[in-house]
Amino acid sequence: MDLLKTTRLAKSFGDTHAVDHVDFTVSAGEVLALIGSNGAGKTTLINLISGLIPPDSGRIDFQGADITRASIHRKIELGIARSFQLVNLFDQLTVQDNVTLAIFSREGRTRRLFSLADADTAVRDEAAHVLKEFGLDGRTGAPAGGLSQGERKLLDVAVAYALRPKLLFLDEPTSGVSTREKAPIMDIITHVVRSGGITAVIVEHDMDVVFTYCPRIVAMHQGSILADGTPDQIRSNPQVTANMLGTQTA
Amino acid sequence: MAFIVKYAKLESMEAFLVGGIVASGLVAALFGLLCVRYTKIFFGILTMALSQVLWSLAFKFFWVTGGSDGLRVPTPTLLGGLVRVSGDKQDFLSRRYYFYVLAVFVIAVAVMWVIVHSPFGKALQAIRDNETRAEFVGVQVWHYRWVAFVISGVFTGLAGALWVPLNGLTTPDILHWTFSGKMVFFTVLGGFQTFFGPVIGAIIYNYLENWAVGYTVYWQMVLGVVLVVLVLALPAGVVGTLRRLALRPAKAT
Repeated sequence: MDLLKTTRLAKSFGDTHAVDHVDFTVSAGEVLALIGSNGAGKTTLINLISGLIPPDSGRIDFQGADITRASIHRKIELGIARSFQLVNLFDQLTVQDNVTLAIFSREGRTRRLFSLADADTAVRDEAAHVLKEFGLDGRTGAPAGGLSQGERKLLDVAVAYALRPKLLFLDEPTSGVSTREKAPIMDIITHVVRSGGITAVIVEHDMDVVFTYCPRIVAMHQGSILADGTPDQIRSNPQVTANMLGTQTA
Repeated sequence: MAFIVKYAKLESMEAFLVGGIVASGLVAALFGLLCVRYTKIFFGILTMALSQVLWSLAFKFFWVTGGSDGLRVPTPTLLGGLVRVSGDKQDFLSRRYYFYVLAVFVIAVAVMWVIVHSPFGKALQAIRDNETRAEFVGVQVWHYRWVAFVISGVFTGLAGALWVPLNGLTTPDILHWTFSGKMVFFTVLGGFQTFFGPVIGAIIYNYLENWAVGYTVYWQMVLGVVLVVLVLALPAGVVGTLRRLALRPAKAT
């Protein structure tokens, strides 16, 4: 059974069909890439599924249940988490607190008023473990706002990962970082995601990254799905080549 | 609190505290349902407008509230009647009552400190930093803001209950926005990004006000100038600036 399935999902902004009746499926355990040029509808599709914006029409099923109109909170409870294209962190909190907050939230303990957060050694240890997995163990006490762009990207994913999601959307996890930093970041992310058994959908512009790390690629163009297949199938797809890859891989 | 005296005929400070906390908590819970839907300047204006509504109601319904004359509040008994006024009322207020207020203040600050450092407090700080991301780690922003608003109301009610016996009288003036504005002044003066900033700000403000009132009839202008200078020169407040200065050498090393 599909972990996630959208049926004729649609969203328009004025006359622009950002997501145009898209049927999209994700199977449990896979790491797939969502590619497309600017304005193809990738981020809008993620925003619709994660609950940031409501769809105009269509349906979203997660583990067989209709979650089309579910709140963000409910979707997180069910196991859908995301990171953001423009890094979204709690800049004045420390790196560790960014992650501990996600853990407290997952455990339903953020409503506790009369216990000290830092005194919870189990949560602190888990946060330290998560940060170590993401290579951020040397930065635990630093304010998140003081990290480099690459570190911020990793922390953004680490916060989402700490929610222990079943399905994780990563919106351009390497955008804004140098070419040299991209491979190490993707190595860490894909290793953590795969070892944690998490299904991941990675939105990415960099085709080298996509073809290297994702065994399944879904290409979007003007709000619709243009192609869906393995890296080789995508590379040899004439529509994808014409619309997105140009002569790069032709 | 004055209603407790007027209708329940109680004169126990503990009853006043409970009454102040419950009444303020309920009003905050009601007002919060509307106010926490907005942020920044809109939130500020809305809370101020609602307090002005309460002020005008208290002012107009004089047969209930005493209007501009207010309601008299006798000097209360402390610790369930164990400590009572005997002889000089001023002496009672400046000694026994002072230490009673100090003890409640210390307990209140300790409780606030725990709340700020609790998982709930971390969630509030996260909302302050990034509302959208807070939603996406599962924090229901609206709900948390409302709870924070009610907590704020509870502590304000506690402070109000402690303040009234000093005056011996409660009037609609304490509902007026200029009175609420003092709390904002404390916070700006001390620094809103530090836990003890507003506490230090309140102490400095009261000394400053006492000095200015004795020094010139234009004391409000003095306070106004101080506020303008603070906002321009010390946006982090006195405590925030001192902390920044203290951390500067550490950064350089």
